[in-house]
Amino acid sequence: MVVMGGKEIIQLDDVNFYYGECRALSNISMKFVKNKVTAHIGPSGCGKSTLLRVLNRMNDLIDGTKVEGKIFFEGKNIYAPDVDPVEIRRKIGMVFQKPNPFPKTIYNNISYGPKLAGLGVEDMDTLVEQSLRQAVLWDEVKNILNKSAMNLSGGQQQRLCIARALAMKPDVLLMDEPTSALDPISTAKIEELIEALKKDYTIIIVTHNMQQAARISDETAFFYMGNLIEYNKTEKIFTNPDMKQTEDYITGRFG
Amino acid sequence: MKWRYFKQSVFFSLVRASALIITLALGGIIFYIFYNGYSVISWDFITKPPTDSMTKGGIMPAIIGTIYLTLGAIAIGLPLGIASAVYLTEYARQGKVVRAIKIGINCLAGVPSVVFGLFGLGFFVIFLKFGSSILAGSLTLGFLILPTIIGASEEALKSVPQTFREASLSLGVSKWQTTYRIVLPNALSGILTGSILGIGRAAGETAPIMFTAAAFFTSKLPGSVFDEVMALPYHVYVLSTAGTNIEATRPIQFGTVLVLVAVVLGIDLIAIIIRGYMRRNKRW
Repeated sequence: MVVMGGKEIIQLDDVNFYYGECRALSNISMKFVKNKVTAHIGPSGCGKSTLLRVLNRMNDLIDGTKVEGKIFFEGKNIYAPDVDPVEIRRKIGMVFQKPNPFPKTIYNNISYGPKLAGLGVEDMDTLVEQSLRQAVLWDEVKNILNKSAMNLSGGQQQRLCIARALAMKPDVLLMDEPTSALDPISTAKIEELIEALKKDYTIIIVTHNMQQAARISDETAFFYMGNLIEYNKTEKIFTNPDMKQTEDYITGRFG
Repeated sequence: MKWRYFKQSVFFSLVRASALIITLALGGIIFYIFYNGYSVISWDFITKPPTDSMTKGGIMPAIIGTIYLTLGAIAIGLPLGIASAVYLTEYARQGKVVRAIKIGINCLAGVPSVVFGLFGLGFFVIFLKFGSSILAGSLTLGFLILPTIIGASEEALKSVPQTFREASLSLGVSKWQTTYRIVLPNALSGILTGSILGIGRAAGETAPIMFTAAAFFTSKLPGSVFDEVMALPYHVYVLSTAGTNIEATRPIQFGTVLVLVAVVLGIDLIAIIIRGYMRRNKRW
């Protein structure tokens, strides 16, 4: 097991994951450090998105999937029988590959989660403003809060989705290729945002873009065929990886 | 080259003709009903009960009866149908059980309406002692239109993007709340579109209400859901097969059919307006 410096928040202990008969993750053991950005890289179908969805139990929703092993979130196994996945998802937020705002107003997109989760928010206006500011979207939308979120550009929609996730005040933010559907300017904005957010959140991001991983992450994990090949400081992975496979991948020899 | 264009134009003409035939058939039916029935249509016809052994007077009790039965069928079929579809698409594990239920629903859709009528008679009217009544008729019609509504609802629910569900669930919102707050509101306009078909069928069916709700003649309006009512389709059936003077009441028969078509269109129109209102905010 690779050990990173800093306080750990999530720990995977020999995790296997199956879609039916097909094994998508094999014996994954790793730790995620609090207030760091960890990037998952690897060729398509290597299991990096699957792993992300195992962490907030989103894979529960797919029939015929099975998880083996233990995943500890702040010391508690999230796959223990007495754990409510809904509670886990409140603490581990998620941003998806394609921006997916609800067909509601901008305001209601943000207030939806806190309201329904019964967080007992006294001042929803403040929470909405705070969340939008955190996602660096406030100035662009403050005068159109009651307009449909569907009118925003793709980049704005994705920042809205980040704001929506932040409104739940999660501890961890999972990001599944959050910029792959965006133009370079929107991508740059989201990357800046990630940099700023790690002060308060632990971020785990899947990316296909190696430069992106190198730019924004503190640690990088390289997956191949459902195996964790190498997990180390980003700088180390991109300058002097231990494994030949990692080197081949980041230098573009396969994948 | 020329030959290809020729083949193309022949083919296009054929498809165009097919579409035209349907339109003509529909137009022909409506024209025929209108032509034969318009002479009896008057304010009195739709506001007065029949007189002189139903050879004169109006058809008001039948209009009211059909509206009650149709609304009753919607009140029973729509919630039950939507709930079943929600179960099938959102909750049930896809597998043998779901497949069996779906086959059952499809079979239900193929059951002749007179079978529903007999079932309604045996179960609602006699076994549950509802008597021949609006309640028994609405229940029977509700079950009759259930497959249509379930089918429409399933399609509508499936067309709600999966990403909406994922987004909601990823926020730590429960599955039920996600279904209720996100999936259903976005599916409702589609559900209504499909259900309009069922509504038309409920209003127009004769066999299911023949034994369960429809009265041969009653001039008074129903006081409760346990009363019998006259109904437009059954009234036409009675006048044209068992009336006291079948030939003389021909115009009344066509007039009644004309009113039936108008009532169905009216109920559809309400559904279409509601749907249009819901669709205004829909964009994805």
